[in-house]
Amino acid sequence: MPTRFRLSAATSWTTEAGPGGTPLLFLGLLFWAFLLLPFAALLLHISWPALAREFSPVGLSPLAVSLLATAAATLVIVLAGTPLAWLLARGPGGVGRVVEALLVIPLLTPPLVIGLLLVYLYGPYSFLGHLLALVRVSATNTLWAVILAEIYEAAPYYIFAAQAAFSQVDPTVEQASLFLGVPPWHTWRRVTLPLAAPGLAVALSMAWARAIGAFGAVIVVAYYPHGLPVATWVALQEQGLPQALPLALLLILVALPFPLFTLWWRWRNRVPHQP
Amino acid sequence: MFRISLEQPRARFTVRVDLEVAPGELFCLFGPSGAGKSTVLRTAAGIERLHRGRVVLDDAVLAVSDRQRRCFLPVWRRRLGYLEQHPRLFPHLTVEGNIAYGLPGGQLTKEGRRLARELGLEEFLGVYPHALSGGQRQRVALARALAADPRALLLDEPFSALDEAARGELQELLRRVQRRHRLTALFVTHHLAEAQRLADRMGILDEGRLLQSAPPAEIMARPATPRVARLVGYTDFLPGGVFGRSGGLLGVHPDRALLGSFPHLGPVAEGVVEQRTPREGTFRVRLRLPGGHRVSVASPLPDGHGLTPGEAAWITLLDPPVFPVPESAARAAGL
Repeated sequence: MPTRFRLSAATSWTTEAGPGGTPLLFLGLLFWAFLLLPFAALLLHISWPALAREFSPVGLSPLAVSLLATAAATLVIVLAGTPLAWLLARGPGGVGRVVEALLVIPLLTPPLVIGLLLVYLYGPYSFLGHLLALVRVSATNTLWAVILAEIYEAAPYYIFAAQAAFSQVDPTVEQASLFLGVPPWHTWRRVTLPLAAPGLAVALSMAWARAIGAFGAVIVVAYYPHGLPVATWVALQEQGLPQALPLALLLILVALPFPLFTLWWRWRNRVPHQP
Repeated sequence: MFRISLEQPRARFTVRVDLEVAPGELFCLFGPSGAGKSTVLRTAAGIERLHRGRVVLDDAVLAVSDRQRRCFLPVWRRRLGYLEQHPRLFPHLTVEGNIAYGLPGGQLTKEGRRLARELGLEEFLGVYPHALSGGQRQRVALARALAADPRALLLDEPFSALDEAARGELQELLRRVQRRHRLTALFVTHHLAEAQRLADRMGILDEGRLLQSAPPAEIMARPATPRVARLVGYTDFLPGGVFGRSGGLLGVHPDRALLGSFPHLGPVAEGVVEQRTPREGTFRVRLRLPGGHRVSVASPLPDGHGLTPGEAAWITLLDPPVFPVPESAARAAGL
């Protein structure tokens, strides 16, 4: 009688390459439900006429403040953070570890505390506050203050993610470019940057999301002008949940597209692994 | 002319090398792993800082470091083609983009296309590196290096990761291209057969010292010292008296000896077969000679043609090198 072989339960969900799609689908749905159900609740409870009112000229003010401040903060973070992240990935280890440790501090400090520290540093009665006042700039309760607080909250996220992106670029590939007579700056532009770009896109979307949602530090240093997170908080405090929900939805609507776009772009431009 | 004269301290020893590669010559630096071959190449390339010495290519000083001066030409100004075991292609560029990378404007010229054709890459120009085999990737790396019009090629075991067939094919290709372009090339390898096949001249490097530089055939026939002989495959060193010669040690290379008595070809001795073991398609026969000396010889004879253990057999050494070393000293040195 011929012997019959039957796949055991353990092999039914595995392939040669690793676990199959079933566990991934199960865990994915579980986390999806946990993370996204609150958003569904938001959509069910929102007052749509109230949302329309937020797009009136008065309601647009927090949106404009948030978009403007976040765009400026992200620009500063990218311009200053990208070279630093590259140096952390490629520079001398000793100094790099010290700088890393210093960058971890704002990452681990609660945003509210960051706000308090910023008031001490840039407030109207501080030395820097006096210097800024001389050039008619105030780092509290102005758009500049919102930008400053957003930079403090979002910069470490960008720098660490960008450092990871640069670390993934094989230095010997950069070296190959140098041997072909291409100087370091052009090698960075033509090899390092394109290869790190998918990781940098993730870093950028993280920085954007952190900056546009920055609340703890912002509410301390810049109660005015209201950005979307502060405006949502004020609406909640003064008018209740139904009035806060449209602003919350607006915040999500402006915060999400850019990170989603960068994730899509990253997927489109992923560099195939070279054995 | 590529002149390399350097002293580079390593953990166990200092690499001290003086060598010259003539224009259009392919010089192979051969030696065991850890001998300092890659140190020489990496220093010449500019990847490692020169500790002491000079690296000069034609009329250009690439690096000099002595008590008076320390100056180094950066890698991107040296115009050297550098190939290593892993091709390090740009994964985000196609084969065409890789080959054209070092050209002005990043565009493949007529000469670049000719090179791609010469290296059998014409049909892969639009393909990304991840879709290529190891041998094809190394071809692209070679084409990319040649397209940038280097003054010299530095090759650090570029074919070591390839299978035998691909390696042979690429060795052939490299030799052809190097000759056609009359390129000065310094090739590092620990595969003796590769060095013999490719080199116009080869240098034997051991623990940071260049022991001998000569054409491969000369080194095989006349190794300068027993250590060089050992490194190029000589397995036994026997007193001349065993073969009826007076004085010195005779070097025995398993592939430079015949089983049988052929006195017109070299010294002959009679012994007894001790062992016969298969090796890479042939056999290695171990003989015990008068005085208890043992010697290994390659033999293509299949089973059933004698040479069983205990049988008598003759051995003829083909023009063996003779080293004027007292037997006692040779034994003390482990030879």
